[in-house]
Amino acid sequence: MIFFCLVGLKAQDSASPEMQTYRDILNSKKVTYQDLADIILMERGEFDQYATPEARVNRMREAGIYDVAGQAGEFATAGAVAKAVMNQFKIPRGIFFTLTGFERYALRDLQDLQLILPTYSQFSKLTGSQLVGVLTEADDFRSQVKYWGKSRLEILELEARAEEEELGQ
Amino acid sequence: MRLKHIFLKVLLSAALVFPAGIFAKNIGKLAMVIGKVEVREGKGKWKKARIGMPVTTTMSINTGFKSKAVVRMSTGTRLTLKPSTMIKFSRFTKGNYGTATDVNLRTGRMKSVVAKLQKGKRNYFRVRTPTAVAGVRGSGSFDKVGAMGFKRFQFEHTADVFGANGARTSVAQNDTATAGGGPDRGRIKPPDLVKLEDAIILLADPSLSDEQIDAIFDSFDQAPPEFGDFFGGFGPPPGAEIVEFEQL
Repeated sequence: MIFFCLVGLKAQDSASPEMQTYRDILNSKKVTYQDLADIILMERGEFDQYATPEARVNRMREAGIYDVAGQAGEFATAGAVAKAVMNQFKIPRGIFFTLTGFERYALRDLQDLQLILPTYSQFSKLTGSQLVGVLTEADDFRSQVKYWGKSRLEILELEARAEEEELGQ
Repeated sequence: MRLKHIFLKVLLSAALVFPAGIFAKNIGKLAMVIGKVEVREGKGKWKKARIGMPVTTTMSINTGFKSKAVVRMSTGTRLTLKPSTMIKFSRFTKGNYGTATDVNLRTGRMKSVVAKLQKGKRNYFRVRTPTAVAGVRGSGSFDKVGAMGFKRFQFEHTADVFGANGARTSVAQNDTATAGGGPDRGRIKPPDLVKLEDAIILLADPSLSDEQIDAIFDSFDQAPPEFGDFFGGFGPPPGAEIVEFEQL
């Protein structure tokens, strides 16, 4: 009886599919367009709402982030990742990306903002760590925009205050 | 005999619930868990984290997007894990010098506020990342492992960052140091606007291994009270070159 109760409790505490997918992507040697769709939806908080990989790819297209166009299993390029990140995080666009929408200019804009390594070309392939790293930098950029023009001490105070409010202290 | 069977059943049940963590040492607890946060003991299975859950010396913590976790250690140190972060505690020791903690920052962002101890003792806190190792002594810092590599922003006192090639920099108060990925992997970029007396780059032998870097930190066990004395007594290895930066 105790055995079955404990097994039940253990099942309740087990890892969620979203976090397991996140770790699989983090450890992958080359990310695919499916991985890109999964991680973008995790960032949007919508991963759990779409049960199948195809649904997640369709959602990414519907949200206007990136159209995978039937190549979900192919390795994602740095240009594609850059375009998806620019659309998801609403990063200010440069003149060429605004006019053309080409992935190479999205990558160039991210490189200019130092959100991705300058050594990548449009067709470079990324590892899972690198993909997660780009999203980390973009998220940082998005949250730091409101601190532009302030001194570091002011930023620290604002961040500490925001953290205290969030933690309810 | 009956008691023995009952005891064995209880032990088996405990082993099922706590497969790898039963002998790990408690070093703190999860003071706050927001969103999707998971933990793992050693190489065990990942499971959902809960507020108040004890943190052990072999624990890994993974936060998802739009999630955060705060770890309060028994030393008084507080770690705030930002979204999409993965850390692993790899070492915790106590001695006459105080305490020494090693944390591996696999990805993401972490803010560490390291508590000060009484005079003569310190909380040595080291953060290891894929491209750099950073030591903190009783101060606060913000570490990030992103697409551009490892970045530390030191907001109190000073700290030392070792690159993967052994290059070491002292990060002054309110300054940053970066150890980049790609072609700059492991090379430390000097902090901006650092005064001469705060920035000393010691270009060590490029073959300086992880074990040798470990030995540097392990020697903190016998370190004199002031880091300056330790640094002066250590001296540069043969063939090394001391480079000083001009005031910008």
